[in-house]
Amino acid sequence: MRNSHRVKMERELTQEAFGALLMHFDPSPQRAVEKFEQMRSQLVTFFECRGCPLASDLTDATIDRVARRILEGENIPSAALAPYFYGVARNVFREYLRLPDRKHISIDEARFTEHPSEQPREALRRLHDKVALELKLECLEDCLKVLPIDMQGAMISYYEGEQSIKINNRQRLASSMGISVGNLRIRVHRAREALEKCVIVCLEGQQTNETELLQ
Amino acid sequence: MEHQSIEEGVLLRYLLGEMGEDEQEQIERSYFTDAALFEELRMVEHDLIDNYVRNGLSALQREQFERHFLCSPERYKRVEVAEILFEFGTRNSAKKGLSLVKEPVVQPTSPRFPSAWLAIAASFLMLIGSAWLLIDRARLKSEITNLTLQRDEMERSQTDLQHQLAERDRVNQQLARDLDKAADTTANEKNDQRGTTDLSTRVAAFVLMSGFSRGEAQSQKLHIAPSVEVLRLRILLVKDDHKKYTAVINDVDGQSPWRGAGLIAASSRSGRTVEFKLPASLLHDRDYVLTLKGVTATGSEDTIDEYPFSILRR
Repeated sequence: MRNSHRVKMERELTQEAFGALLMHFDPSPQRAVEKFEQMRSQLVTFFECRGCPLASDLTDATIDRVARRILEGENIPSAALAPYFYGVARNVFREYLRLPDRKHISIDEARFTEHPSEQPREALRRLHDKVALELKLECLEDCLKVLPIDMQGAMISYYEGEQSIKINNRQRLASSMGISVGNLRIRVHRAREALEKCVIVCLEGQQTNETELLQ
Repeated sequence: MEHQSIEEGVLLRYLLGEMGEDEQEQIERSYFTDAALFEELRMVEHDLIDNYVRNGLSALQREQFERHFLCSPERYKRVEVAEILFEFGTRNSAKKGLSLVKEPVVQPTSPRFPSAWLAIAASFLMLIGSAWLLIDRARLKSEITNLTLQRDEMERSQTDLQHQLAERDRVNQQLARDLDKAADTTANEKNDQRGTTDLSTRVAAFVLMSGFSRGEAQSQKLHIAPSVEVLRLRILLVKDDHKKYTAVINDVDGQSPWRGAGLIAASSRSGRTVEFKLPASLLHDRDYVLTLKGVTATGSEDTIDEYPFSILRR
């Protein structure tokens, strides 16, 4: 079912094609990988904001397509790479809209409002199952330890308290770190991006364990 | 690339799907080439998720969040992480709150110095004040819980009403189909539809059929009671290929008493439909044609089908 509504993806992105693509981002391999990751994130955001449940798949399709064109000799200046990616992404999106069976998605891929017997609030209320919540908090605590020490405390303090207490906390936290509240917000945001990835991987690992136990 | 400053409110509208195609494209072109703007967008996204988790969104924003923003498994996972962070922060706050209550500041007592008595009195007042604040906070939390329950109850009632409306629509369509069948088998019988009228709301609902599916010479007759104030018209789509639709009603003189734009197809038990309302006073006892058009990605309109009908006021 999932394959039937994918845009044609050519999943054979060879190492050669990927290397050629990275070189177009930046001559330095490390910077190239950073820019590639950013572009991937921008593409996922684009497809999500356009309401696509298969944002990751469409992102991969876009990257594959651009990589293939570069390998075939298309000359794309570095400064024009981002707009080029955006143009290809829009084409991929248009093709996705024209797919006849895109409306038929599996229950696992369906948005909350498309679940026949589930509402978003009900799905989120499941988090309050005590056992599951404790396991999830364990994931968070483990992932917090991966952050730099100064950011561990900052992340905990940043999300404490309600409304005015939270605001005062953040002002005090920024002062103690010798930075502005705006700068604090940026640092916490970057730490949270890393924390999200770690927690999601940890949660997926827990789900795999539960599935194995049930089999 | 020079950093573009875009207001948070604009980025929020983008995330909640409140923008037209041109505005979306403008934002997207900007953040694809401006890393700082993209980071700003991601921060606004985090704030939006946090507000959703804390029930800090308006009812409309919450609906938009659940309908548009929560479109992918990845976004659901980010909301899940926000829930965990919120729970973690709440527990830490609770621990600190408890520790403050357990450790009140007590000044040494020495009757020789009046200032000591003042200090004792001040400490006592602080203790009373803290206790009062805790009690008041508990009361407020209880009120919030009650209000939340009331709101949930209202939402459930709204959902029930929507189900009832959907059921009524289904009955309307079945009536229309039955009337159609009866009309087609009788040579002299005229094609007409009385629709359903909700006397309490003065709304008359009709299902329009394509002129081609009913024979070119045939036109639906919509009988409208004098008390009807609003017409609700529904069109069953053969294919739903457009994000938005436009409906235009023209009379035989080419005048256009009504035009509806930005219509979005919805799912019903009969399939994908487009539905809209218009004041009954706009239409008189004469013939009309409703033209349904699909809006393309470039903003142009493709004619999809035409629905001839006549208004007859009983």
